[in-house]
Amino acid sequence: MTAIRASADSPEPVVPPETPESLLALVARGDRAAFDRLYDRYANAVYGLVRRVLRDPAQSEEVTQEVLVDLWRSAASFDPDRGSASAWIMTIAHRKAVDRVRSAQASTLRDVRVAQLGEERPYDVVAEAVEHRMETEQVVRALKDLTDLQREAVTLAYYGGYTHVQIAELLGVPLGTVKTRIRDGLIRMRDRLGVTA
Amino acid sequence: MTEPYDPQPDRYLDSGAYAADALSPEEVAAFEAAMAADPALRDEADSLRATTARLGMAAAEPVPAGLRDRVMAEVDQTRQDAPAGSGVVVPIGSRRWSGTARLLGAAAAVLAVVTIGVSVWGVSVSRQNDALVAASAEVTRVITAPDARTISGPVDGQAGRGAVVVSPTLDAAVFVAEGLGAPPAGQTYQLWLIGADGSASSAGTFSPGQDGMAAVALSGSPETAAAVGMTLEPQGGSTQPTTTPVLALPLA
Repeated sequence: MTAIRASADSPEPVVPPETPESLLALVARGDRAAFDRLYDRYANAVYGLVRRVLRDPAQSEEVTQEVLVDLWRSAASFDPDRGSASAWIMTIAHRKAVDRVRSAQASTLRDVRVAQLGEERPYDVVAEAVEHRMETEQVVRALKDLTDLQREAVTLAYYGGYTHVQIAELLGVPLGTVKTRIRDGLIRMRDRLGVTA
Repeated sequence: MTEPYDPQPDRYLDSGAYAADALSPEEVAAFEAAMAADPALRDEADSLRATTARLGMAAAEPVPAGLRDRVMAEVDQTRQDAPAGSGVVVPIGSRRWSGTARLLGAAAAVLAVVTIGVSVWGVSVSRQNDALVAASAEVTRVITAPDARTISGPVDGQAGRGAVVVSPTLDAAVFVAEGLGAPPAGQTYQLWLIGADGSASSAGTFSPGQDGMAAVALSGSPETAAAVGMTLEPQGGSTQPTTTPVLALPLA
């Protein structure tokens, strides 16, 4: 114990933090240990988003597993010129979730989801992990900063997994209006959050 | 705003819905084709993707405890995809473009962005061409059909190659080409569906893009055709071929 304490007093070795991008590059080369670290870093985010869209815990777990295995399988296709590792990973997660929602088998689930629509405030999300809290608060603030109509369209599309056609039907507004609200809302959030691609 | 290329500013209207995965597959194909030809549109879409990703990260919640072991067990038995390299290699149904990847660059670039899921967004679609922009939902529909077959061959007297992608279940075919020279002044390329008895019916005329690429849907039913041919015809096209075909691809 004393030895450990003594070494803790000495200056910390300076290790550059591992970026998600460098982690993905290692995974792409078949580094299993790197995949373990990738899992630790993203499993909660992937699961949280998938569950947000699908709601059903069992299906969410299934889709989360598909997503995570896909990260392993296709890490080499990540193109850093097109965006961050996080954006790539969340894109895969979101697409898999909406694919599941839109598949025929999910029709029952869809009925449940429609019934639940409106019960939950769309931006009422609180991440458990402390390291996510700041990030989450920022995003929640940016979301609150939108007009009600923009926020409704963005959350129905992204967290709800609805197509713009479905949203137009739900809200009784033209397709172009829905597209405009989503785009304007996301642009406002992007600028508010200082997001760069 | 300088918009040197995009003739359809309404594509910009789709960028948010695209980033939120709220478009139909056909709209996604059209949007991604437009994006491949318009760096400004691509940048906007990428930045909105980065924004929706923040929404995704904000939804994090603790993953069920048992999942880790199941994921790791599956990973241990999962072979990784090879790096994409410079060529775009896209699975179509159960097949891959590998052999004809270069020839089908235009089509593959369209497909690269059509396929829903993993391979889509990470693939770098750097190739830009007129044909891509013009690629219609019909072209996409045929080349993504599960039973799509590809028959390719060289174009006579040219370095270019052409290919027909045919889907029996859709009873539809598309023609894609690379390295096609511009037709001589006053002439056009014309495609023909050729029956087993040698009869020819027009499947449409087209001009390749400035980069020599083309991706066009054939009009007419390929079901009874034995081959697809291509000739040079006077501007406007002919009712029957008037020159020797520069390309003939047997469908059987």
